[in-house]
Amino acid sequence: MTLVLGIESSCDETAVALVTADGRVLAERIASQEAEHRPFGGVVPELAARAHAERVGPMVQAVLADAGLALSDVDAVAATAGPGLVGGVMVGLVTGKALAFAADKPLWGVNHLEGHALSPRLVAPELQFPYLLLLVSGGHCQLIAVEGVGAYRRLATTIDDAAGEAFDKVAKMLGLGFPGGPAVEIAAQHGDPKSVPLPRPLLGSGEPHFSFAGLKTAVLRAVDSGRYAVPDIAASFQAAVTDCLADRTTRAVRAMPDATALVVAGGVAANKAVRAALEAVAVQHGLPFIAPPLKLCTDNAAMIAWAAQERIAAGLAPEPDPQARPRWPLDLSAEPVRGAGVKA
Amino acid sequence: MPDRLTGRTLVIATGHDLSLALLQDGRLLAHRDQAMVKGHAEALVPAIAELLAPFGGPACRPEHVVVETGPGSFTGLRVGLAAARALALAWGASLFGVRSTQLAAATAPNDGRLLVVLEAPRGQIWAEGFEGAGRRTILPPVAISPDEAAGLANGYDHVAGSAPALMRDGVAAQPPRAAALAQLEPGALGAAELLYVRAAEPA
Repeated sequence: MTLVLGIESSCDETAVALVTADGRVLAERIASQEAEHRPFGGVVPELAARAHAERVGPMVQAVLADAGLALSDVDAVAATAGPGLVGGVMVGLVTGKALAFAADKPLWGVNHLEGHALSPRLVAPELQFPYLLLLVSGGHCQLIAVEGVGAYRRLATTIDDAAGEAFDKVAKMLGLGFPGGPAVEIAAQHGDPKSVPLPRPLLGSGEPHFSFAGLKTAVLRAVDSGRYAVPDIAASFQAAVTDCLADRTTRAVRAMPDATALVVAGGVAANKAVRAALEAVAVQHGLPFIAPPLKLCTDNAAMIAWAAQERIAAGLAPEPDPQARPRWPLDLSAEPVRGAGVKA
Repeated sequence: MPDRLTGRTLVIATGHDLSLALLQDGRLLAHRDQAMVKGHAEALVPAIAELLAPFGGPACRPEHVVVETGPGSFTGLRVGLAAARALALAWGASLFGVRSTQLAAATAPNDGRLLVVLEAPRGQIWAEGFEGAGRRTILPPVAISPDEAAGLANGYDHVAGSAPALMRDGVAAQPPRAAALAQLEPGALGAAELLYVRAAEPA
């Protein structure tokens, strides 16, 4: 059975995994860089690249040891080739290339977004194409029609910030620490989501996209006003983001009548309020709702290895000598969106 | 650190140019040098493949991998370290580090005091001072201005490295070369840990 070694290093997690063609994760390790970036309230690219360079090699060795296997047992190496912070992507990709060269195995340069897009099939093998994916993380906020392996149609993206980025920035404004998503969610538990009037950018809009910059600015004004308690601001912000995500997703569900399921991936999918609202959208439209377990929602290497497995199973060939790309849209034919986020 | 490098050694230097060498029992078998400011990530693995091709390609499995640890381009050094670690793992090879300044010092006269000066970003200079045949470090790697480097050089018998304006006595400026490892005592090798010597921000 084909065995793929996957490497992920596009943001602030260094991850390595071994995944079989039938979706068994034989071993995986994820090293978070939260401690390195926490003092800065966000991911610092140079620090991220340093941490990846220190960790990725030893982690490959550790994952092989965990599985009781040698590199010669691996049939292919897969490494994230983008999009992401290019210093880190280079480290993981060069590691993958050198391993593949030394062991004389094929190398797959994987689109990180494709990893997210196909990861639900790793845990839900019954999931059939086409399905609607909401990818919502610190770097991305997109609705994608996943029509097959390598066949993606972008239905919507953010015209400014990603939702997870807004969580991080609001957490910083509120002094809640990094990473912001979990911190805001915890603070919100004790707050009133109706207490602070906040905008819902593009809610009900005819255009399909997301926007969070205006919401972020409104939170800053609310903080500066000194009139609101931190839990109330956190709860009101979380409610506004949730409303926007649910509204835009509802619009996309209607635009994709052949969707077999609504799937959510990315770190923000870990937020319980967000998850509940999206599940409600799915139920309302008679669709199964699939949210992979948290460790598969956030950045991980199992999804990178799995994306290569999907491509191998689909009879596709690896791109020769893939290069690190800071930008790499899944849907190359998607129209550029005004002011769109860097990776959209 | 090893007394000698028995068998084959692959040397990877990516902190300045892209420079590679293959040694047999410490003696130079082949080398490959490519002037490069950016693009190490793209060029490195194909260049290693090309270097090793006449020796059986990846199947020649060097017993040792030595990687340049700096000071040099952070991105270039990281790419070199990532490849070196992966290759060492795949081949079961031992992995060592060598400073860019040691490589640049290797071909210079070894009597008296030697100042190695390497071009750094923003017009700065990375410098390290050595003394005697054993290349004992008397000034640890620092990032300084060209004027400071010129001042320092007055106290040294020889100058080597990649900063043309600081060269003297007809010595040509040259970035660190992987092949220079053949001139170094294996005992001078260290751990494969990068040296991030940051040039000062412009005032």
